[in-house]
Amino acid sequence: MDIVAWIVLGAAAAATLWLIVYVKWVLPRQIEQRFLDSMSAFSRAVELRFPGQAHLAEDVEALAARLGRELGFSRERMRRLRTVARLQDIGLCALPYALINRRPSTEWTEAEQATYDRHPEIGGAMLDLVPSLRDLTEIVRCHHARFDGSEGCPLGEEIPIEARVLKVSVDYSWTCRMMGELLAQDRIFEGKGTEYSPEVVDALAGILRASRAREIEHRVA
Amino acid sequence: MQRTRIIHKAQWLLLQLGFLAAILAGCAIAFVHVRVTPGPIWVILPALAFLAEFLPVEVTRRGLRITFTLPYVAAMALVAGPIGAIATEVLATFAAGVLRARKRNVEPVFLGINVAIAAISVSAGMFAIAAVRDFSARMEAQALAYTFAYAMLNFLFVAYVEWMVSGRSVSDNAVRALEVGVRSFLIYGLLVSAVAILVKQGIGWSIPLTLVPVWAIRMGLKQKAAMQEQYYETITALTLMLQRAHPYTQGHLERVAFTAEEVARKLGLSSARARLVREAAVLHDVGKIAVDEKILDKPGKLTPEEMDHVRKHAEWGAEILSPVARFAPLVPWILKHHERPDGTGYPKGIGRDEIPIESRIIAVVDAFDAMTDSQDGKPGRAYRDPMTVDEALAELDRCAGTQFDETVVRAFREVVKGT
Repeated sequence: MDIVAWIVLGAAAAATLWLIVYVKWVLPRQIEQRFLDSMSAFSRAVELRFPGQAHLAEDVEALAARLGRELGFSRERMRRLRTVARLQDIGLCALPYALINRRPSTEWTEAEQATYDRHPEIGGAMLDLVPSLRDLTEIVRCHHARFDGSEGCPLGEEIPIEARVLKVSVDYSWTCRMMGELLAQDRIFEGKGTEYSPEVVDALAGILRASRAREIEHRVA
Repeated sequence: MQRTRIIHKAQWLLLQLGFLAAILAGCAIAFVHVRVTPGPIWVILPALAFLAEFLPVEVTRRGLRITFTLPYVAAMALVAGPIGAIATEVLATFAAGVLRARKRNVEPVFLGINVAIAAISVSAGMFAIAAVRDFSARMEAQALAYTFAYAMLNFLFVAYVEWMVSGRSVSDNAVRALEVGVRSFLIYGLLVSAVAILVKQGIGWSIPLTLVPVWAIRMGLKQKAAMQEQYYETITALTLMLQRAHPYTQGHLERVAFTAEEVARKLGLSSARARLVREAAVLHDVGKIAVDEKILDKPGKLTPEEMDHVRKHAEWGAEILSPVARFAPLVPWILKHHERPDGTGYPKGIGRDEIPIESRIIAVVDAFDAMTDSQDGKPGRAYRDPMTVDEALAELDRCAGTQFDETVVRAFREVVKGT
C-alpha cells in the first residue's frame, strides 16, 4: 500500500471516530439542552401569568434535584424529575387570571379551591396531547396527590416517586417563602405518612441535617 | 382531486425518467468496460449495500434522496462493471422502497421514480469513471469521480421531480442540499475511497467495518429528525397553553399561520423564511397567556390601565420564547408585531423602516382574521360583528401606510383574491 492509501484510510478512521463521538455524545447532549430550554419556556409562561409565584419554580427544581440525589435516583429519573419540575404547573394557565392574581388563597371559597385543585389534571391532559411528553402525564397529574390518597390518583407507594418528591418540594418551598423555614419544616414533618411520603420526608431531613452541619462548621471556622 | 393530479404528473415523470434511465444504463453497459475481477467481493459488496439500505433507522428528508448504498455500489462499479453496479443499486433501492412503501402508504409511482433516478445516477457515475480512468489509474480517484457524478445527478433529478410534482423551487432544494451536502459529501468521499482501497488490497474481511460510519450517519440523521420534532412539539405545547388561558376561536391561529406563510412567499421571501413566518404567526400572541382573560374579552372600551396590561403581551411573548435558542429569529418579530409604520404602535413606537417585514405581515393577517372572524357563536374576542371579506379588505386599504404596511396589504389582497 502506498502513502496516499494510508492517508485515506487513516482519515476515514478518524472521521468514523469523530462521527461516533458526535452521534453518541455531542448530539444527545445538545438535544437534551434544547429540551430543557423548551421546558423553561413553559415555566416562564406560567410565571408571567402568575407573577406571585415568580422564581418559585427554580427553588422547587433545586430542592427536588437535591432530594432526588439523596434518594439515589438514576440519571434517567433525575432527568424526568427536572423536566417535570419545570412543567408541573402548566395546567395553571387554564385557571382564571383573577383567582390567583387578585385574591389571596386564604380567602378562596370552596368552589374556587376546587377550581385550583383541578390544575394537575388539566396539565396532565395537556401533556397527553404532546407525544414526547406523554410519559410524564402521570407525574404531573399526581404532583399534588396526598400520600394517604387523593381523588383520581393512586395511593401511597403507587404514586410515582417523582410526584411524591415534587409534592414535598413544592409545599416546602412555598411554605418557606410564605412563613419561613421553621414552619415549613414543621409542616412537612407533621405530614409524614399522611400527606407526604415517609421516604421523601426522611430524605429532606437528611438534607437539612447536612446543611445544618455545614452551617455550624462555617461558624466554627 | 389534487392527489390524483399529482399522481398523474408523477406517472408522466416516471415514463420520462424510466426512458432516460434505460438509455443511459444501456450506454454505460455498452461503452464502459472495466477490468472485471471476480471473487467473493461480488457477494460481499451487494450484501453490504443491502444491509446499509436496511439498517433499522428511518430517515426521511425532503429534496434529498439519502443513499447509503453509495460506497458499496461505487466499489462494485470498479470491480464488476456497469451491470453489477446498476443491478445492485436498483435492487437495493427497490427492495428498501417496497418495505417502506408498505409501512407508510407511499404511492408505487414514487418508488419507480426513485429506482429510475438511482439507475441514472449510477450510469453517470460509470461515465465519470471512464473519463477519469484516462488520467489516473488510482481506484480512489475513480471512486471519487463516481461519487461526485452520482451525487450531482441524484440531486438534480430529485430537485427536478420535486419541482414538477409539488412546485418546490430548485433553489430551495439547492440550499437544503448544501446544508446537508458538504459535510456528508466529504465523509462519503472518504468512505468511498476507503472501500475502494480495501477492495484493491483484497482485504475483503475488513470491508464490513465500513458499516460503522454508515450506521453513525444514519443515527445522526435520526437524532436531527427528533430535534426537529421536539421543536414543533414545543410550538404545539405553547399554543395549547395559550388556548387554555384564552379559549380562542378554534382555527384562528392556524388560519393566520397559513395565510402569513402565503403572503411571505408572495412578497418574495425564501421558503425557509416563509416557514419561519408561519411559526411566528402561530406564536405571535403567546404573550397573552399572561394577560387577564376578563380584560381581553371585555366588551366596550378599556381603561388606560387595562390597555397597558393588554399591550404588554408583545413583550411577554418575546420573554416566553427567549429561553429557546431556535426561537431566536422569531423573538424580534413577535416583539414588534403591534408596531405601526406611522410610529404610533407599541411597545416602542418605532417607524416603518425599523419594523421587520415579518412583523408587518403578521400584523396585517392577524387584523384581517380578527375582523372577519365569525367566532362560531362562542364568546370570543371583543370585536364588532364580523365583516365581509370585501369590507375587511377596504378597511386594510384605508389603514395602509398608517397602521399597516402598503406593500404587505397589496400582497395580502392578491393572496386573498387568489391571483
